[in-house]
Amino acid sequence: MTTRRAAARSLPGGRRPLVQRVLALNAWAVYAFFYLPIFILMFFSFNAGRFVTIWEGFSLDWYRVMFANEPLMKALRTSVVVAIVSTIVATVLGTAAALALERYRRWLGKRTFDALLYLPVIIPDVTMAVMLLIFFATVDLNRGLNTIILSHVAFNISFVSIVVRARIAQMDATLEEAAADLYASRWQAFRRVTLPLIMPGVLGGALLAFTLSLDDVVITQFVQGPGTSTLPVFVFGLIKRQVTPEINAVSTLMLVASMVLVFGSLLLQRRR
Amino acid sequence: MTAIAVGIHSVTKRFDEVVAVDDVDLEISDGEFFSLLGPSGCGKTTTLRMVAGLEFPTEGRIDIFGEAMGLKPPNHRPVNTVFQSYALFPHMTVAENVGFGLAMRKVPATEITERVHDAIDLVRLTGMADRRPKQLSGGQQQRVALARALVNRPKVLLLDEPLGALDLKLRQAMQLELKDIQKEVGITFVYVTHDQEEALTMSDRIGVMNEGKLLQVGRSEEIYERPANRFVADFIGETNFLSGRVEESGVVRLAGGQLVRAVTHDPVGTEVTLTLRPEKIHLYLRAGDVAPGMNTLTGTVHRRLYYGDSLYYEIDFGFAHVDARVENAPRQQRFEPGHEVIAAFSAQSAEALAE
Repeated sequence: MTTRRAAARSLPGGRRPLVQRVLALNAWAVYAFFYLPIFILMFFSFNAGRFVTIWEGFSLDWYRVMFANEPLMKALRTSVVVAIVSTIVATVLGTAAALALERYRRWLGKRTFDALLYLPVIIPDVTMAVMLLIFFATVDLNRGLNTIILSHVAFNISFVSIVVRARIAQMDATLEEAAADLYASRWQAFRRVTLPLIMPGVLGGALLAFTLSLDDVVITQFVQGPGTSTLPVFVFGLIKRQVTPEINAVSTLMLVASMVLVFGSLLLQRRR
Repeated sequence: MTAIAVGIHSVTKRFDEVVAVDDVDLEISDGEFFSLLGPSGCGKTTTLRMVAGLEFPTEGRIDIFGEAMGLKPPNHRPVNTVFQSYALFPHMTVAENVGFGLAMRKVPATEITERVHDAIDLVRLTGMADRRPKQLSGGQQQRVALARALVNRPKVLLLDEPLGALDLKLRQAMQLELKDIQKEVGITFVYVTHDQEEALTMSDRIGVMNEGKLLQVGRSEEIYERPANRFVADFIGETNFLSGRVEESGVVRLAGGQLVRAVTHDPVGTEVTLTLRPEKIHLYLRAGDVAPGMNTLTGTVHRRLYYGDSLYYEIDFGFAHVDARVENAPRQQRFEPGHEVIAAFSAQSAEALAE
């Protein structure tokens, strides 16, 4: 089997089967489709001119403009605050939900909860946004930083618990029994055995939540209050007025931040 | 009179509608090596888990050294468990694994170091303290699991098929070693296994379970030589079954009409099954060679199987087939298929079991 496959890979004269070449070409085409726009976007963020399609020389002017833009910097700070707070809250609650679903045999409403937990992942953002907006209006909550954070917590719990659950499912439940057998209380067993073992999943989920919070536009736009924009929503507003390489600079900044976080998340999840 | 280490009183365990353990009564003495033996799903592991506190009885009571355990969680019971999968903590070193129980009980650090060191020596893993479980072989992991339990000096050590994952040679070596360790530390071992040979060689006493019921408790010889019922006779070792009826006390009339002397427990007229171990049957060509007082049955050799250390003869008595095991000893008579032979066995080796 192995030898036959090895033979297929190195036919005489280095020729490969047609299928293999087509598939390889396809892969490159897909990558190009994904990454060329990104490269173009990043490229023009260093443009000296004020157009996003005509190259006029290298400069960091637009980055300077960006950092000097006080409303934009305020939106960035709001984004970071929202991301940090909602990530922490969602990670704690999401991990707890994952444990409840994976580790406890039966409790009232478990199946329903299980099915509903993933709803925010499935339903369109607009639906979720309208839903939250109506909810906040009903309970008479003033829209602002609070409502943005609450909304981000709401959708992030699902993502965190999906990631953490996968990790818990991989973990041998006997380890917790062994800890209890070795005189550990419930809390000690969780703290010393369960948590260290699911930590890659928890951190991975947290990073995913952080990224999703930083990137969200639709839901935030609905539930934000006056003067509490997050960065993506602010940028969206900018585009409506004028498109300058400043947008490219902001996008590049967000892109780099998101990529770092997503790669971090993937690395943590892969670690065993 | 030794103390009762584990008292299991009328314990039943139900999972939904399934009865896993059915009204089990059992007392295990202090210092005893006790095995719970039975096929998978017979309730032996559930029984062990109830002693550990990982499950709780639906009915009945479990005592450890006279103290009722009730709903006490595992961390408040004076027992430790060696799990079938070992359940070593993968993120800790061997020393951290072994010291876990002591650390949880807030034993001073210097004492932990010392006791962990001793326990690692006891299971002959000296020099491996800083390794991770993944870097150890199956046999070594099993020793870590043993050390991790023993280091706490439990009153009772519970072992759930601890050798199940090891290969045959290693398993046999570990059997002897476990027995030695048990003698050395002198604590009660409750050992769950489905391997009858393992149970017979290691245990002081064995409890045979099937379908949640405890069928027989006794020493290895009692279980093997005097099985209480057909299941025990069949599960432990190999045996032949011959149906018949009690003719008078100590005499059974076989289905073929022959009268044989056997160990009977039931009144005259009871339908019984004789259990007769293959190695208890001696084969002869001439009736004159049979020792006096033995039961004899005449049959023909139907088949001969060569096992190396022994030969199995399948003897056809007309009303039943019986396997006889003959040692492959020098100058041992060989019997050819088709030949007529006389099968002889003592009254003591034939146990009459009620249907």
